Amino acid sequence: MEVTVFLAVALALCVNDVRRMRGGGARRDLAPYLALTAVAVCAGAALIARGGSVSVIGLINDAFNIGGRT
Amino acid sequence: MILNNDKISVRQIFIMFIMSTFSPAIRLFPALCASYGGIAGWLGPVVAAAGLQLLIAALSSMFGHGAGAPADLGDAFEMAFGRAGRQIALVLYLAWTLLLCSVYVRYYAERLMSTIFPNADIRFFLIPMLILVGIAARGRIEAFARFSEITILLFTAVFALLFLFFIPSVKIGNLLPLTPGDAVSAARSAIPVMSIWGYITLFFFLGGHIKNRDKIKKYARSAITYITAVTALMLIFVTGSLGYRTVTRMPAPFFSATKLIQIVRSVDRMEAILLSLWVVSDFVTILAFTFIAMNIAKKLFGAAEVRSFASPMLLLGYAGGLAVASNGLELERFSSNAAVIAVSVFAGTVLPLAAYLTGAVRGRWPLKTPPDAHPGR
Repeated sequence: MEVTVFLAVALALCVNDVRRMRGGGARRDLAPYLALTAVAVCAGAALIARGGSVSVIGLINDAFNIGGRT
Repeated sequence: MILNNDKISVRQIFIMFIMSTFSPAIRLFPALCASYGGIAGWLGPVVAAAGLQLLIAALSSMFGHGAGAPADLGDAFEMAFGRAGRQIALVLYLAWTLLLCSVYVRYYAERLMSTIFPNADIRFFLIPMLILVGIAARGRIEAFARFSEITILLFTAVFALLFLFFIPSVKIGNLLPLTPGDAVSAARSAIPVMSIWGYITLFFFLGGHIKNRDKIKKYARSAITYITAVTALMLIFVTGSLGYRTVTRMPAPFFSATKLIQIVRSVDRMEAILLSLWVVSDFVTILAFTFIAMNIAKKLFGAAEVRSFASPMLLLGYAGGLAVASNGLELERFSSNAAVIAVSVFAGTVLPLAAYLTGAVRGRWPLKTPPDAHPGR
C-alpha cells in the first residue's frame, strides 16, 4: 500500500514537472531530471518495500567495517 | 527591494550556515567535545575558530578576487583539479549532502518520537516536514535566506535567556582547573566542532546565487565571533552544570541540562521552548542541504534550472529518512563515529583547502587573501 502511494505521488510530481519543463524552455533538463527521478523512485520504492529491515548506515558500516551497527 | 533575481548576500549565506549548525551543535557538541577533550572540551570551539578562519580565508581568496573568480565551488574544483576532478568531486559531494540530508530528516523525526510522541509512526513526522521542505525548495532562495535572518534573532533571544537561567547551576569546579597539558585535549575537542563547521564549504555550492563575494572576509569576522561565542557558552553551561563525565554518557546533554532550569520554583519546562526551536533549526538544516544538493545536481548535469531537481530530492529525502538507519541509537553511533567525523572534516575542510592550494600553485587565484573591496561599507 505504502509503495503504491509513494509511486502515485512520484508520478504526479513527475507529470507536473515535465509539463512545466516542456513549457518553460528548460527542455535540456528533462534527461537529467528523468534519470535522477528514476533513481529516486526505484531506490525509494525498494527501500520502502523492504520496510524497517534496511539501514543505509548499517550497509555503510558493514562495507567499510567501521562498526556502529546496533 | 524585497526580492531580486534569486540572489542572496554573503551575510545571508553566513546566517544560513550558522542556523544549520545549531541542530547538530545542540545534539552532538556537548557529548563529543567532553569525550574528545575531557575537562578542556569547552575550549574546542575556540580552537576550531582558528580552523574556520583559515578555511574561510581560503574560500575568500578563491571567490573574492574579482574578475576570473569561480562562480561556485564546482567551478573552483574545475580550476584546481580539471574537469574530471570537478565531476568526481561533485558526485562525492552530492552523495555526502544527500546522506546528511537523510540523516537530519531522520534525526528530526526520532527526536520528536523520543521526546513528546513515543511509539508514534515515524511517517507522521517525516511527511509534513518534507511537504514543507518541498514547497520551500521550489520557491526562491532569498525567501529562505530571509526566513533564516528572522529565525536567527529568535534563536539568539532564546539562547541568551537560557544561558542567563543556566548561570546559577554552573559549578566552576566542573570547568577548571586547566593545565598547559590540556591544550592537546582542547585541540582534540576541536575536531568534532570542525566536522560540523566545515558545512560552510557546502554553502559555496550556492555560489551562483551569491552577489557580493568580495565581502566574505568582512562578514566572516562577525560570523566566526558569533558562532564561537554561542557554541563555547553552550558547552560552558552544559559542562559546568553537569560535569564532563556525566555529559559524555548522556544522549542529549544540552536538552537534559535545560530540564534542570527552574526559576523561583514556579517556572520550569524550559525544554519545550528549546524543542520547538530545535525543529525550526532542523527545517533550516534540511532545506539548506536540499538547496545545496539541487545546486550540485544542476552543476553535475549541466542543467538550466535548479528547481527541476526539487522533486527527486524530495523523494530521495523521504526514502532516505525512512531507510537511513534502523533506529535512533544507530544514528547516534553513526554521528559520533570517528571515521564519519574524519570524512566530514575531509569533505568540509581538507578538500577545499587542497583545492585552494592546488589552484594557488597553478596561478588560478592569489595565494594571499585579497582585501575587502569596500571595507568601510
